[in-house]
Amino acid sequence: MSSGVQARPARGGLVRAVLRTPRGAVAVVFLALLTTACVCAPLLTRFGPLDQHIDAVRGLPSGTYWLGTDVLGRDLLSRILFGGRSSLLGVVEAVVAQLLVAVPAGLVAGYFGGLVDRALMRLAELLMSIPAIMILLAVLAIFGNSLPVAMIALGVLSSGGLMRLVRGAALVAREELYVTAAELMGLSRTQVMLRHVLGRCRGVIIVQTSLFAAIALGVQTGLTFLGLGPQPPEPTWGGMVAEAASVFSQDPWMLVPPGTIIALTVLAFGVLGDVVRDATSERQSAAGTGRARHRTAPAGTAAAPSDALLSVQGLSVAVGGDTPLRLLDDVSFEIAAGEVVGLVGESGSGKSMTARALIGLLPTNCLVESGHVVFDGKALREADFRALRGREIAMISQEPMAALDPSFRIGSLVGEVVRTLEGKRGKAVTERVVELLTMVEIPDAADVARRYPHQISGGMAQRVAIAMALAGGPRLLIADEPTTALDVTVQAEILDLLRRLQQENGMAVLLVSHNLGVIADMCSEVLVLYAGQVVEQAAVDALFAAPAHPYAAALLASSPEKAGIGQPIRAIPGTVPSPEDWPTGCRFANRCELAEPECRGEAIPLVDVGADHRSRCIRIPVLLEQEATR
Amino acid sequence: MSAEHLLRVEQLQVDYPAPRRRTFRAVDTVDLAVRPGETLGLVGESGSGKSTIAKAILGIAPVSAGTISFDGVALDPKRVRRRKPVTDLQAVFQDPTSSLDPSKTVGYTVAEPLLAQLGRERRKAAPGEVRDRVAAMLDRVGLSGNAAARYPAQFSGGQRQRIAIARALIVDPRLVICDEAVSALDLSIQAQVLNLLGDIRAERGIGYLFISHDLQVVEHLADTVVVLYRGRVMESGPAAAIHRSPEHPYTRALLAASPVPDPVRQRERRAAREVYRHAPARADALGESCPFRHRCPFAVERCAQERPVLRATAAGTVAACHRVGELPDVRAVVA
Amino acid sequence: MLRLLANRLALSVPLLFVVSVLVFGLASLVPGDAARTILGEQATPEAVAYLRNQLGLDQPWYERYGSWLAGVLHGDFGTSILSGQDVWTTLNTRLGVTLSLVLTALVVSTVIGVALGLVSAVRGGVLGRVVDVLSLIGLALPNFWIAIVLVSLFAVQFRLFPATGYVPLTASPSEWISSLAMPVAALSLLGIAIIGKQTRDSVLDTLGAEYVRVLRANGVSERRIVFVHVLRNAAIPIVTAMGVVAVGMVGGSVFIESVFVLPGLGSLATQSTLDHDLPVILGLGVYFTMLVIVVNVLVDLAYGFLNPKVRAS
Repeated sequence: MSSGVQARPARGGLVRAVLRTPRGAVAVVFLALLTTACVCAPLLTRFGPLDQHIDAVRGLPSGTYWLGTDVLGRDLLSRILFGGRSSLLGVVEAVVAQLLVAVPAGLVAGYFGGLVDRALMRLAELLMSIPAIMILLAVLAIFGNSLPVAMIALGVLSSGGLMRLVRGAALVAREELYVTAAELMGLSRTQVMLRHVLGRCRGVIIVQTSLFAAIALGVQTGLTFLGLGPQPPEPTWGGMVAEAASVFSQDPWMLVPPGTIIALTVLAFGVLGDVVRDATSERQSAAGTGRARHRTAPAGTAAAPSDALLSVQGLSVAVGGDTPLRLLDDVSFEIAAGEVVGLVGESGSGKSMTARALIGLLPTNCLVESGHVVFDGKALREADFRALRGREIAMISQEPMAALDPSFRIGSLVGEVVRTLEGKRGKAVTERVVELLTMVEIPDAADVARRYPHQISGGMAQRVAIAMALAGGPRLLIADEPTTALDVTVQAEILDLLRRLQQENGMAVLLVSHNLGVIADMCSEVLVLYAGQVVEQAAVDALFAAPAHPYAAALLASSPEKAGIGQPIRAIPGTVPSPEDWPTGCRFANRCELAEPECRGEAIPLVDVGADHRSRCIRIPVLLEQEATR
Repeated sequence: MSAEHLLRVEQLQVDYPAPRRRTFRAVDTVDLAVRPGETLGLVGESGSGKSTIAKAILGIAPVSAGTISFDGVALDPKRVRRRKPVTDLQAVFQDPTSSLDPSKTVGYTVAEPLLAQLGRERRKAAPGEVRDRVAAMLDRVGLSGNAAARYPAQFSGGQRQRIAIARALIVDPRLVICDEAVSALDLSIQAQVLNLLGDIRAERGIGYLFISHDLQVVEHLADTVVVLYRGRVMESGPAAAIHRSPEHPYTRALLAASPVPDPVRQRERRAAREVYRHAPARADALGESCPFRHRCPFAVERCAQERPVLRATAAGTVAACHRVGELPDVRAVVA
Repeated sequence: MLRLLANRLALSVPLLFVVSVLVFGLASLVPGDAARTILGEQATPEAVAYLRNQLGLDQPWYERYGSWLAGVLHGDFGTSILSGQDVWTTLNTRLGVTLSLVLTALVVSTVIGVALGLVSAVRGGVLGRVVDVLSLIGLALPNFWIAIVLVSLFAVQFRLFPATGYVPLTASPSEWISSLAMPVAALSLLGIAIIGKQTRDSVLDTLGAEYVRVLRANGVSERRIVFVHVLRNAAIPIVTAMGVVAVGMVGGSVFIESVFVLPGLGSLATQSTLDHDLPVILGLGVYFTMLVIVVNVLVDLAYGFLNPKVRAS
């Protein structure tokens, strides 16, 4: 409902998703080739790993010895491939041991909970506190340098971390409604666990396993480097590094092949883990690097002058890099000083995007393609926004709890804004904070100032957010769904507060909401957004009494209270088209009962239908006639 | 226990553990009854206990007292998650993202309850029977034929809610619990889903326990409305009566607070709301008193000393208020 | 908060018990023992039996464990089978070296890792990618390999630092620094990579938080947002990463101390493993476990300081 771009969660075919990324494909192919080469080492190598060639000691790579030879003239390629057998086998032993312990325990702990959970988590904590290397050394000392035993011990000792993560994922899955639904069907708990919970943990298991494989390889090579495990002349990767170390100052090359193969293999495991994590996480990958880029219009095409406090002129915003997807298309409107303008629309209409563009805080992956935001007669560039924020334009947001930094007390959050905007110091700040909190009708302001955000209710948090926004005496307040997350009685209180403060301070408000009741309650002017376009703009009474766009009319009609009790509601068929499917013609045509072939042709302009009333429709007369008879 | 009731909840009480070894009473001695084919609406704000009641009926909340019976048979509420499933009772939840397993196809998701039922009855489905029934069900909720092979992520919120409805209906239940089933949807999509629920009810004669925070939505679909506050029933009665003439101060406050999508009427309602504005005092612990008294402009001393019982009102509802009948005229609010 | 700490400390007692039983139990599973190791393969059975009796090895393992445990409770960890020195004294004298190494490396990793991660998250672009590549290298190359390269470059080629050995801080601060420079560098690379990556991820997450947007909208300067709000909130996962890195470094010291011949706990561990010197290995197990417990307690304290919700409960 908030930001226009939603990341679609990964679905089936994880392998395909991993192979589709270049990094993932390279890592998988490398590991597959390495494994094959090590398994088939006798077939692939010309020399045995122990064959000494006195004529070619310490050789550099050549046609005969592709990777050179060591101090005894043994072929390095052959030693790496044969040595890889014990390394890879060691990794497999460790990984399997870890999976066998951690996955069942984690699943059971997370899904069953209760006493089992507490006992298993204590065990995990215990395992995580055991210094694994120390125990491995003890195991090696005791079991006569048996590397397999050591690697299995490593797997078991390291299973605490994976156990916790699997439990965490299972715990989340247990709260998922589809798991509840499966339980209600009467599936046994084991069935639910295997069918629905395990799938949810798959991502974290694969990620952790590949990262652990990297660690296990590091430990295996480290142990063999120390001379533990298989004894010379058996080839091991760590052993080869140790052998090379003794002659390194004379023959640095010998260090390169084993170091490279260890590094590449560790990297491949690590990259695989990262790629799987990216593919399974629902986090927006676009949140990556880079800041908002503003391609503001060249200086010559200055904005048209305007008397309004704020004027938006032909604003278009797109998301993404190489082939930007337009989310907001040529949006223009004005807000006069002291006026309350409503911006109404459903998910994907671009209303939150508009609100964020007005304060210069678009998501990092979005950019202004064209258009201006003119404030107080001045077209704003990015640097200008920074100077205006808090002082001239302020914002309150949809989720009051998320809007307050959880690590700071209310008093210091509000105080920070006071210090920044008013330059006050010391006791004056405390006084101003209490004054602001009292202004937003918080009883016992001094007491609330000492609390942390998690200690207050959502309604109270929204009051604090309003106090912060109004500290600098802004002339325009952008309120993005300010009451959506609140209960209806709290919503009424917050709206009353906003109305009072707006009237007292004479400030303009842009109120973004999907709730037509809230719009009717607060606004004097309304803009209706549909699929990134303004489709209607009117004074509030005119819009609700005689909507001039079929979408606005249909939206008003789809309130349940418009239909009689038990009667069907006049619903709008179909769904809002997503940005990639926006047609050239009318974007509402496919859901509109008045649509004609012309509607699907050219782009529809926004036309005047009366004083201060515009609509983006070519069937207005028919609509008005129809509405009149209804 | 009357057999004419499909679902009957008596003196239900649910306590959740709270920090410092205390308990939090989420539902406090609530009685409910749903007849076959009837829709009961539960309405209330967050913390009213409306979803907890649904969970208690479904067997996933810690019931500390009271009985729940379905079709004349008492359900064991204490053995959470372990009782025999009741095929005749299904549920649709609020969050259309969380209610579908993202790694399973829509066809599998919808078929799963049917397969579980067949498995329990040790019955083999005729070849293609499951597939045909899934296809018919998806068609009925308005999804195209190829939907079965696709994954939930490929559908919009409204479509996912249709899938969840299909999953609930595939085993031909007699009662469906809809817990905030349309709350996460856009207005135009909410209207579609409400219409779908209404049509299916008319076709199949099923009943709903319809839970929402939105009084208007509840009044639209329900025959009977129950208003909850802090785990207790404040008022209940026929939807038309609650709509026309709410008698409990809380019901009125709730109605007065919800804005009407009409600027003229909203101005009137806002003016009327002034009567119900009341600087809230700190909410006391629930005891033998009225849970709404700290927010009630009409509270008298008695409200703090005696817990009000449900009493019949002139409007045809029952309300738990000591001052029923003494309150000012209600027309300004419901205008 | 106090309860959390009490929990942690309460867990440390069974933990130490489990570790010691584990080592002891494992030891009793296998044939052959220290007596044979000391006397060699050619020793007569009588000589072995005599030594076994002298060392108490002919008693059942639980009795031996009992007497060991009784000793430990009185601060007596026994004596090394090979050197005959008191284990506890040996461990304490070697602790300074390992602590110098690990603490210095932890400080270096944290300072550089946080700085790199922060810069990469806030600036992005080319610099971000440089940090990515650096952290990949740090993750991929084994520390003993890096150590060898460092030795041959800076000790053998350029003669900037001594190749091996350790000078205590109290003897000569400057020589202490130069004796630790390369070991710390070798040990830090992985720490920098892990802490840098974690810093980058959590700073990016925090930068996307709603309250950051609100602070910006209210005119708070970018500098204050990054250094006061973002860093503070990103600190919790960074501290977790520091804990993981610290524990990893204690393990990594085993390899690094061997390469640089530092007389610390790590090299002692390698040596006593090769010698099958069980009393020393046991003592080390207990000692390392206590170090891990100390790290965990410090991490918990940091959580309490950083997260008001933990502090309140």
